[in-house]
Amino acid sequence: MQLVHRLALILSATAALLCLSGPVQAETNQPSKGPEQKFSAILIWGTDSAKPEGKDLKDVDSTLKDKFQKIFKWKNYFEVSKKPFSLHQGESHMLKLSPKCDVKVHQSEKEGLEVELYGEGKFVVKRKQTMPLSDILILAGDDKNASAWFVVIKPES
Amino acid sequence: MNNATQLKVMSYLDNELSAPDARQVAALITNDPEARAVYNELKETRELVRGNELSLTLKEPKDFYWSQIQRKIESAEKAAPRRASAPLWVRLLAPIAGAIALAAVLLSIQGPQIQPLTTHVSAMHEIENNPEMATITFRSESEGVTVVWVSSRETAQEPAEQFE
Repeated sequence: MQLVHRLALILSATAALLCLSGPVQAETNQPSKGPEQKFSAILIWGTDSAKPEGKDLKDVDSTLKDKFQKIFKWKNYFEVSKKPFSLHQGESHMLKLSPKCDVKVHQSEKEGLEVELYGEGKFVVKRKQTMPLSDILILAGDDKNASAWFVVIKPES
Repeated sequence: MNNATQLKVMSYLDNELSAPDARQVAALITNDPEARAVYNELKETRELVRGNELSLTLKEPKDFYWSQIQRKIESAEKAAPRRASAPLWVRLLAPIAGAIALAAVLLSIQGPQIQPLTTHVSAMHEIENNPEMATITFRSESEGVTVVWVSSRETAQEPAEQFE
């Protein structure tokens, strides 16, 4: 009986040690960064006027332009700037799309994707979503002379 | 002529200006045709009103009349029922109960200005904006686009014409 009791004690101690070593080993491993997600941040200007001369404006990608024309009312859309970037979990990117427009994108494990927009250095809006971004996200507003600005966060495959 | 100058001319007519200001306005009226026209118009209006004002006589002396009004106001203020003060435990627990109720409401909603996705997988979305701004969130499932439209709070009252 004493032998059985001792064996039981040894076995339970061993089991306890194994249980404790498991998570410790896991903690010493390097945390996984998670998959990389690629995006493009695009600043677009919408207007009913023709393309102004002397301004470095490009044509918007045709797929994106089709979407814009189905959703918004302006006749013409021009790409002011485009910045590709990639994100891992826990990473942030601050992108300057124009002298007046900055966008910060952060990917966190718990809170998902956060996109913050700054206009002329002032905070404008922040959007958080707990899923990976599958939609194209557009932050937009009115600009002078009945035109509009659009900041597009587009996932890239 | 701006509003401030017009007000000065009115005050001059009513003898409400200090001596230096009155001299300044008098000089303006003399030299500026527009100021002189405003002054003349105000003067004529005042004379018309005074000349045609209906006379109203009180039954009692003026002081007595106004003292009656004052007494009525004072008695009305005294007669207003005093709110019975709540028991101490109610006064202590009320803020806590309010905070709990507010927390329950906040937990029951999915965050401010949320537009629920129409996809088969639900997602939590939150919007935070500059207090001077207002936002409208719109999602086009067919186009796979989520739009957050930002406008200043002044123009946010106007109907949204930017969407087709």
